[in-house]
Amino acid sequence: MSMMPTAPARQQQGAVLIISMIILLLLTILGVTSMQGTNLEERMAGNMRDRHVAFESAEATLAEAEAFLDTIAVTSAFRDNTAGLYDGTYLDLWKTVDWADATKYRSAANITTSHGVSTAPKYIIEYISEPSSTSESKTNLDNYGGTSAGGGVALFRITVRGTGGSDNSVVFLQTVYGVSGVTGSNNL
Amino acid sequence: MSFLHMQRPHKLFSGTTAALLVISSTQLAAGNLDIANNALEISTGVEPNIMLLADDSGSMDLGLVTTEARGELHLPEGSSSTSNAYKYTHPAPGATGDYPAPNRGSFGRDNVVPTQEFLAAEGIAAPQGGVWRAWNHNYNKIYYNPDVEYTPWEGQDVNGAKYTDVNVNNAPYNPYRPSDGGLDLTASISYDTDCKLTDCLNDDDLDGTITVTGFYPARYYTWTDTDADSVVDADDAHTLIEIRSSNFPKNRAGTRTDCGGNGDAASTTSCSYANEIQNFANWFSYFRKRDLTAKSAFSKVIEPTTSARIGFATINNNATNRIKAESMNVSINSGNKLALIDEIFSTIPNGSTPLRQNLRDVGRYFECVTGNIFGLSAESPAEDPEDPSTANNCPIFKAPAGSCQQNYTVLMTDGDWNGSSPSVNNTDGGTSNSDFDGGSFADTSSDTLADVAMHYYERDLHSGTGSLDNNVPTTARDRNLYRGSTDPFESMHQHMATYTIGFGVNGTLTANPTDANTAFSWPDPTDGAAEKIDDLRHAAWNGRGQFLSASDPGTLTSSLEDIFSEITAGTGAASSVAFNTQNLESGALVFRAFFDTNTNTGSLIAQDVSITGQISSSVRWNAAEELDSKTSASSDSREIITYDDLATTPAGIPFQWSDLNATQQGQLNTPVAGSTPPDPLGEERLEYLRGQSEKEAGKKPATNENFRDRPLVGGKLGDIVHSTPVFVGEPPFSNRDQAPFPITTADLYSAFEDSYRNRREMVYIGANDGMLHGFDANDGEEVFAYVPNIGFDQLSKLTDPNYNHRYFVDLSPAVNDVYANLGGGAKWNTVLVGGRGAGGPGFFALDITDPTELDTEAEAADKVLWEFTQADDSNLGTPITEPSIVMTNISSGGQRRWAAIFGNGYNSASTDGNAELFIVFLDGGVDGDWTDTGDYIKISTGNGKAQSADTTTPNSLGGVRSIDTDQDGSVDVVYAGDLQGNVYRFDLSATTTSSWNMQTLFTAKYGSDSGPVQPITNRPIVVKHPTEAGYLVIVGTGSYFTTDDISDTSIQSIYGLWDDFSAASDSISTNKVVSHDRLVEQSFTNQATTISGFTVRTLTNNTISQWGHTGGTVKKEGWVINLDVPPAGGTGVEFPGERAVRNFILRGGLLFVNTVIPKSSSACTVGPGGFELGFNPINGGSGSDIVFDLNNDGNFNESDNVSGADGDANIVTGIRFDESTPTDSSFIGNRKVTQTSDKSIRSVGTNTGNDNAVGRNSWRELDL
Repeated sequence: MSMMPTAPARQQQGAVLIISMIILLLLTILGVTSMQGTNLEERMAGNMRDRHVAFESAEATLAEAEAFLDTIAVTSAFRDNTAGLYDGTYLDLWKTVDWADATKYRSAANITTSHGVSTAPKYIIEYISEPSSTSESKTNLDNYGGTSAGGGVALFRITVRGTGGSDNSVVFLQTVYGVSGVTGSNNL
Repeated sequence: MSFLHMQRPHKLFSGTTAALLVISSTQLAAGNLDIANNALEISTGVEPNIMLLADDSGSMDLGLVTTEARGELHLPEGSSSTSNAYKYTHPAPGATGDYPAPNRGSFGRDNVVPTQEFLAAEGIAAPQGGVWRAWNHNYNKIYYNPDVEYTPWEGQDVNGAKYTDVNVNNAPYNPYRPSDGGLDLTASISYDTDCKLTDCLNDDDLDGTITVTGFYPARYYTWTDTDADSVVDADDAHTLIEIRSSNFPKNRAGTRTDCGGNGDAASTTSCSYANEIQNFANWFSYFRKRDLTAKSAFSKVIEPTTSARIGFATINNNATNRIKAESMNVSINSGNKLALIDEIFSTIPNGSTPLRQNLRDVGRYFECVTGNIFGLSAESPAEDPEDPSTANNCPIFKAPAGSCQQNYTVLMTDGDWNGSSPSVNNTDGGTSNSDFDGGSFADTSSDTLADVAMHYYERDLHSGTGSLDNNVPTTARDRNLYRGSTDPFESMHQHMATYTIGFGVNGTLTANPTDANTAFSWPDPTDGAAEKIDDLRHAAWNGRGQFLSASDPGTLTSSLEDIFSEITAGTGAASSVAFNTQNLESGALVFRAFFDTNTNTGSLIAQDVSITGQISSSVRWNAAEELDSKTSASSDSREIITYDDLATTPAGIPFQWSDLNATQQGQLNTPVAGSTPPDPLGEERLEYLRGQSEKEAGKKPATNENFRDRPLVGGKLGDIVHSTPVFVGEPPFSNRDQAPFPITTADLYSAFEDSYRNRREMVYIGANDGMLHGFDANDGEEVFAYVPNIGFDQLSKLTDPNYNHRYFVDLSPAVNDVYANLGGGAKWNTVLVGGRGAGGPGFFALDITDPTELDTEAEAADKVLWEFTQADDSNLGTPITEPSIVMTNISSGGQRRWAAIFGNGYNSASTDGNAELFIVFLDGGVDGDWTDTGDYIKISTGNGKAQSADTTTPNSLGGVRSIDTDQDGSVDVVYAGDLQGNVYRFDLSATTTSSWNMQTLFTAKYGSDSGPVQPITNRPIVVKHPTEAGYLVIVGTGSYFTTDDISDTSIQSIYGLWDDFSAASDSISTNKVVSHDRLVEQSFTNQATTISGFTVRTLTNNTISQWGHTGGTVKKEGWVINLDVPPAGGTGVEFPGERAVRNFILRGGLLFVNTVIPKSSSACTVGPGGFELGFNPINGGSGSDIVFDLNNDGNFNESDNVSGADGDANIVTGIRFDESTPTDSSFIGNRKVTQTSDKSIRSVGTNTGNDNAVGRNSWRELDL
């Protein structure tokens, strides 16, 4: 009795099925994987964008803070260590700064939620160096309150906390900014 | 300084005559400068004449001001008939005769409104004619308003008793005459009156006289606007409140400070029964009637007024109640002011309202013609403002003062005019003088009140014989309503300005015309009462005054105050502003000091400065007013100390009678120094100087010693003229931790700074009440005051009722942190060195390291370090600039000695009169004398009397500039100039004083080396030479402190002089380094066009291409700017005598200085007071960068230039002060801030923000 070829044929058919199944599985995996990759890339792109928004909002706010510094004439407000203006010699400064407490930072006026950020950027300014002595002020000696010469440069450090479309993207930028002619506590 | 090069003899050279001319006990030595005893910055001014023309018509007796006819209350409602009118809210006895009957008899006895409660009890149905409204302040505007605090009149009654809170059980009907009796406001009374309601007339019981019973006089009604029509209707809801203890306390507006309110109307305060009945009683006596309310307003406005000549007359021209215009003294209880207010208080309301002819008669009084309101004969102006005995019938001063004297009439009335015609025709119709009438002034009616006002406005009242020049300065109203072509319309003829106040009356008009030219439809005054009130408005329009409608006591007083403050202004400032550059409790402050020439008082105020440098208009504190809370009539809680120089160890002592030494007591016992035998009043004088007021002439009862009156409010602080406030907070210096400063850890400056970082923040200032004051910078409380022993003999003059102003502590305090042994071992101290300034020679030093130690007189006494007087060195004269406190190169005990450096001062007593530099070591006088070797060093210039133009004038070194050439913190060189124009370099770089020496650098003369000498008083400033060794020394010439200086027109200059420091070089060895022909001349050009309202000048920008002392004159040694600037487009000198006498400031590569243009002593001159200049200090030229931000847009561009064009020649380098004199400037940020003599502040942005480190220095992103 000869062997019926049916069994191999059945086997063959089974292999096809299995192979098909495997291929299907592979395709599925491939599809799922590629979908996952796309999702990931999309998510990454989203995060990148968010971070860019945060970065740019922080940059814009730096400009705003610097423009604010250009208008100031007296530094006494920085001695109070409140409302985002700090004395750079204040040792507990960074223990005090609380980005969740609106009384301890300044909010950007020009960048708001209508510009696509979830929260308006926040910033603080530290008064880190009193007006420098000028050659004239070192030469012409003065008493208390003397006004013979002045106009040196005072330095401030601005720290901006910008956020993107969600509050999860946070960018901190920091500049040191020089302002001339502010009236500091230094008479020399 | 004309004496230096003048031809005519100096008026004060003539020995004995001089003493007669000068109102000063110190006779000037021959040749001495006549140092002014008053601020040159503000001319004393000519006091304006103000005639008050007050209504004394019978209607002023009314106790009602309503919207009904004549302000009365009528029954039945709506009637306007006089027979249906009520006039009073409260009965008063004696209504059968005329005055002094408290209610006017001729009105009949039945004029008190019957009460609603009485009528209701008699069966008269509601609303009983709305009689309740008589006792409601919403309807009867002068009735008691429980939200208002009623205060007594100012002044005294006919018996000389001061007005006080009245007795509630016997509240006088007429406070001026208590003998007229009073009413017990706490008991019910009954009174007779009429009921004029139809219902009453129909009721036999109520027809004719009725007796209202159960009337509790302390009462008022509250009103509820039931129908919400904002009208107090008879049937609106209302509640009677009787002021009885059972009904109180009640809440009142916060303006009731008598119940502890905070002055804010929006808040409430709880008033007790005692508060309320007292307030009601004060209303009853002082405000119950129109007449009383008007008297209250007059007394409150006149009480503080001093800078005016005020007269009074009534519209019925009652001969017993009128007084000519006289100058006002301080106190309302004495002198002319008492005489004036007595006339006002004794006025009796009785008569009609003949406004027109009496306004005319006041005009005639100012015109000095017959028929005037005082019935005086015609005379020409003859009165000398300085000599009251020359007064005649004419209220106008003789020329020159009279030529700019202003005349005002303030007319107050409660009704429409009647009486006969003034016969002036229709003067405003446009035909008389179309520069002033026609246009909106014209109407078609003749002989109106407005015509009278115009008649005395548009004509020159003093032309023809005995005429006066037409120099009367125009007011803003004069200029705005001017129809002529003179431009600018700055002065005009003698005239009368008319202000009118309608009290409780309204016309048909509600607004003035909009401008002078557009025709306006004025109602015909003969049409009716309201149209006659419109005529009051028209009269004020024609008379360039103000029409004010006052319906209640508050607005009547404020209306009068508005008018008076518009007319009178007499305070000024010659002290510059000071900023606290450190943190106060909440931000930065600017401190400003003022003086009032009329009362010889001053003030120091603090205003907030915003973070952007804007100065708040509100005053944080006023030290003069804070001082009031420390003083009372017979006691004070001030801490005042002085110095006992006669003690074995001279030391500070309390300024108390028992602590003074015998000499000091004797000086206070001498009324006017040296001239009168002593009296025993020294202790009283001391109490007066401490601020106690009971011995002032105006204080009642008559326990006084006739001492000079001081204003009740803010009168205890003397005038502050030249002293500039100095803020002392946290030790402010840096770079003091390295040698030659102390370098041991405990002695480091930074350790000192740490210890005193939070010390009490203070402001120090000298005042001409004889004291240096220390005020708390946060609240203005006086922490302590120091009375220098130098000048102690002059203090008694302050109590003299005929006191003529003089200076006491006028020098700006100099403060620095010094390391020295001042008694408690060597340590860092904060030391203040002050002086008397123009008051005389001498300096004093205080240790102000820790102000909390100055809290009691006993402790503060230890803080006086020393005094340095003319007795210690006869070369000492009168200083006008503060010392420079510096570390020297001299060592003692391993540490450098600190010194106060100053020029010797003017009118020194030495025989040679040499100009000398004083270097006074701060530790030198701590032992009580100045006799030890090295206590102080003098360096003589060798130029004295012999070298002066007249060989008798003592020379003096002016302000000194200490220079640190090696930038180690110690003084190496001092520059200063003298009266003879010499500029000196004092070399203090050697470590032994014997090697210190002096070189003459330059002699300032106008134009050439042989020109007129230019005196130097201002402090020089130096800037490093840009290319060569040494410095450019910048000096300004001119002086501004003697009486001659205000009329001196010699040309002054600003110099930039190269001192190359090579003492051995060829030209310095000739002792005259700089010659005029080696100076590059720069010149200003005054511009015709203004920029953003500023009158400006430009400057040349000639370059200095080569520097050198020898060779061709192409080599230059500096620059000069002569202040002989011609008028725009013209020739000659526009402002001769302009001088750069204010502080030089170097900032951002620019040099700033303010100049002063002297104003002649004739008080009539108005004109520019100076310029603020800003230019390049290297060549004295304009430079190439724009200096000032004239249009205040924050940018420095061509729109800030002349013609809006680019180019050096268009850069604005000078801005004029159009009316007032500038003081020293300060910088707040990049804004240059200048206080001027009219108390205003000019702030201008400057282009001083150029520096490499400006802008963004670094950037980084923080990784999280």
